[in-house]
Amino acid sequence: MTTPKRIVCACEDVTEDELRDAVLDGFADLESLKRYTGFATGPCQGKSCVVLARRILAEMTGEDEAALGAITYRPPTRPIPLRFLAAEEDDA
Amino acid sequence: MKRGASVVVIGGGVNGLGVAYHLAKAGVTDVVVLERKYVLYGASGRNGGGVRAQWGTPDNLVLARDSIRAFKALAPELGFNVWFRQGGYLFLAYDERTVETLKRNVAVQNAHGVRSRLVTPEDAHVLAPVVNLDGVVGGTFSPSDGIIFPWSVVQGYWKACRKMGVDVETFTEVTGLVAKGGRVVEVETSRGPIRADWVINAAGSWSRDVAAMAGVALPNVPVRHEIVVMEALKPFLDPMVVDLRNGLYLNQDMRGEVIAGIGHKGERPGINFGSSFRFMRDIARAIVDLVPTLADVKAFRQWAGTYDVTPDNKPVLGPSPGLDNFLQLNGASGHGFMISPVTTRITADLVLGRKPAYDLEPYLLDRFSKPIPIEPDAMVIG
Amino acid sequence: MVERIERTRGKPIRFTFDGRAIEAHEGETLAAALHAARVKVLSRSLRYHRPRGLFCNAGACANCVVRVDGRPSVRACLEPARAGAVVESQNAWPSAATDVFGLLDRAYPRYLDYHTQFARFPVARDVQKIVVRRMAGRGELPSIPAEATPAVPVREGTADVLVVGAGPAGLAAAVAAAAAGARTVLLESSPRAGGRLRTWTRAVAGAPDGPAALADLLDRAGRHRVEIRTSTEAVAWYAEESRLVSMDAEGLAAWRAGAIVLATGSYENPPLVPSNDLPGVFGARGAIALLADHGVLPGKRVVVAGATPDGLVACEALVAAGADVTLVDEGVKPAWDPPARVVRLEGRRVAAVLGATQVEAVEVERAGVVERLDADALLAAHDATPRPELLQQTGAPVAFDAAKGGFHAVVDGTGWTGVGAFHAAGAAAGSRNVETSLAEGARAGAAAARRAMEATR
Repeated sequence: MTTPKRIVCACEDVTEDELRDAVLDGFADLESLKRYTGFATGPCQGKSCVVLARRILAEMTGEDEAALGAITYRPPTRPIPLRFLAAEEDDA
Repeated sequence: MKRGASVVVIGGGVNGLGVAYHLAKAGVTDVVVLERKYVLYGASGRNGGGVRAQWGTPDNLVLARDSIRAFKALAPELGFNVWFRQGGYLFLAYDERTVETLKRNVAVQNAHGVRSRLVTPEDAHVLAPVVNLDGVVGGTFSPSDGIIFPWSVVQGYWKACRKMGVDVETFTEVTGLVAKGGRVVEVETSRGPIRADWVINAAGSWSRDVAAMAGVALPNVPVRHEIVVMEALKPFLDPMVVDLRNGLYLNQDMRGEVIAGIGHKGERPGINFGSSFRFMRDIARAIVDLVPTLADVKAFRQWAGTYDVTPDNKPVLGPSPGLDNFLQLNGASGHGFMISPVTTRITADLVLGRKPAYDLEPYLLDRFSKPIPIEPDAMVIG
Repeated sequence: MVERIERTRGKPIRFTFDGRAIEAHEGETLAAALHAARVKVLSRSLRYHRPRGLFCNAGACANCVVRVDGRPSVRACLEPARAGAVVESQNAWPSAATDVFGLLDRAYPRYLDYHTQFARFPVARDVQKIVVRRMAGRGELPSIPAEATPAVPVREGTADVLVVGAGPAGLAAAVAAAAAGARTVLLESSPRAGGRLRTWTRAVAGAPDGPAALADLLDRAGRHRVEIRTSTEAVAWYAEESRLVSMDAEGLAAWRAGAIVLATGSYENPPLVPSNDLPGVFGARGAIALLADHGVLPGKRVVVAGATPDGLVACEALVAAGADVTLVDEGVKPAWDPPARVVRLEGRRVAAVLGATQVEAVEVERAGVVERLDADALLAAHDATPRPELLQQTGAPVAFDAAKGGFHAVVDGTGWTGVGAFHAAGAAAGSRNVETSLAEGARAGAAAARRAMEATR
């Protein structure tokens, strides 16, 4: 059997235990928690994990999810092969 | 939040938390660090982790050289991994004039104990087999240069500071500085005022605004630099590679991700963390030209930060004219992280009344009002 | 009982996965063919090398990435199956199916604290750095000659109205915009337009079911000359250049439009329970898309978690395909009754997933009493969140509402976000049902057309 980890961020393998310990360790705002545990920094860039992490953070700190806010969603929403970007400007 | 402290540090990045760490280690724990947003919001959280001593001027070189030694010892000191990998920096030159500059730089570097060396295209191929060397006429390599994980350094300092009793106040903005009788006596914040014996301006790209609150004119100017990360791959690139035609830098971090940045000549000064499509196209072209195998590798995030730039590309350190207790710790023009261990130690020494191990003259703010011509360090990249 | 249901399929083809021949058909994705061949483990997770497979089946999560013909980290759920393709699992030895590094999962039962491990031990720390670097990357450098990977020009596109997302809201918006005279382009991330309409079994918008409503919308879209581009993902809004950039199999397109409607829908979230990452745990809509698009069953003994409309539609589709279905309501009161053959467990929540390399059982719980259900698939139907990326990049104001899945765009009565020429509709604007999405989409499309055409006057 796989161990009964509760996976918050599948891309970076961040477990719920790890997330909760990080909050207790003082990484108690969404952005700091992201940078410490690594959730949302992997290939999918937070499509599911932010929601799960924010709920846990809200529960642990007593803050509203609305107040905890979101992370910064940067381009691109899907990984782009460099060759799709690398053509000279005149080729268009 | 405290209403008074021995030291108030403005800015919670690698410099702010680093100087607080040094102070606390020396027994001065009555320190408050004020961070306007979350820790790692500024350049400390946005840079690509490059650490090099290959600078053109001794004033930058020695700070970086000794910081490299400090980074090597940092993980065991903090009990926190910082992932410093010394894979070297490989600079590639495409014309003889650049090679001449590099020759001069290497001589200066060697004279200061940095084991950099000139390399031929053949040497470059051995150091970085994936790089396309068409047009390369020469270059340099320094094996002690490397890449660190910036988030870990700052998180390590933050944890150590908290443990030693330093107050790190996030989401707390400095709104004013009160000066009386040649000293800054109080820091005004969005959460009320704090009296201070010492105030350290480690506000990175916001340093000029902060200094102005005390009537101090810094020449620093923030300039955006964009950066991109590509999917994590098994190790294929050891050194950081720099293309001196366009300032492109490219490396593989500890997570296997390929990180790259390139400057834009048309960039206007100002705080701007936005991402542009132009950058993605410029850098993709530059990367695919330099490392053709990366054509089918995918970029999955781009972001931006600002360099805190001074006219000579050297940091501003030490007391401010007319305000002995207002210490500057900024202006590092895109290499603040890699010289931070030394610049923060210098700053802590000033607070502790110890003589810093470096001559401060080249870094003092008043150098900009002296009649000597300014010679910018030419080795700024990205 | 077979994995594939009866239907017309494309020409039979074959590719290999880790050396094993896999039967497929033209038009299938790698993921569909692999799943039909009972290959559930597609990859291993980064730190613990836990088995991973399909979850979202929509190009969102990254659990299905494989190496295809020398290209690293390709999403199997998006990649068409091609005859003779060499597909390999990554970052596992000897393969994802039997990875020796799976021991790491047991070695670190809670988690590995990489921040502090060996920090104070010089030799161990140096060795750790080398090991971590070797273990960290996911794929290997591409092994394709540079001549085979030419740079592709960025196409320029224009439209009066650009609609992102061809679910009910987006389709309705595109039809309304085009009917109002706007030159309208509709971008859809998946290979087929329709979203929920494709599988909706209830009457909607005067039509007897979703597919009928969809056929009508597509007919009207055709008559009004909406340009529909499927398999085209909107990857960014660049404010600096005022361009929306999209990506398809050929490359990128940079769009200028008089007005844009964001009908971007939502992402499905996994349940946060033990072993929630096992292959066989699906987002419900992703699982049903596997069935609807490719006729491949997500499982034969399926637990559906959440008596939401998505969950009920999943129950119906699975029962019709011959699967055994248990519905765990997760405290949700169903809007209509599931088919009689569905085993209903009321007042229960999913408490854990069990399995060695794929779902073998699901534990459900009520008031501390745990029951174990044999299962080979778990469909999560009760937690979806509006896609946040484009909303944030355009600066659209958002509000948080847990009942609507989280942060959603705030719009006025015409669907306008208040920012620039951006409108939003559907789940992106907090819609919770298909009828609302259709109505809001139509309003937003009409308003977008007015805005676009006023601008050109």
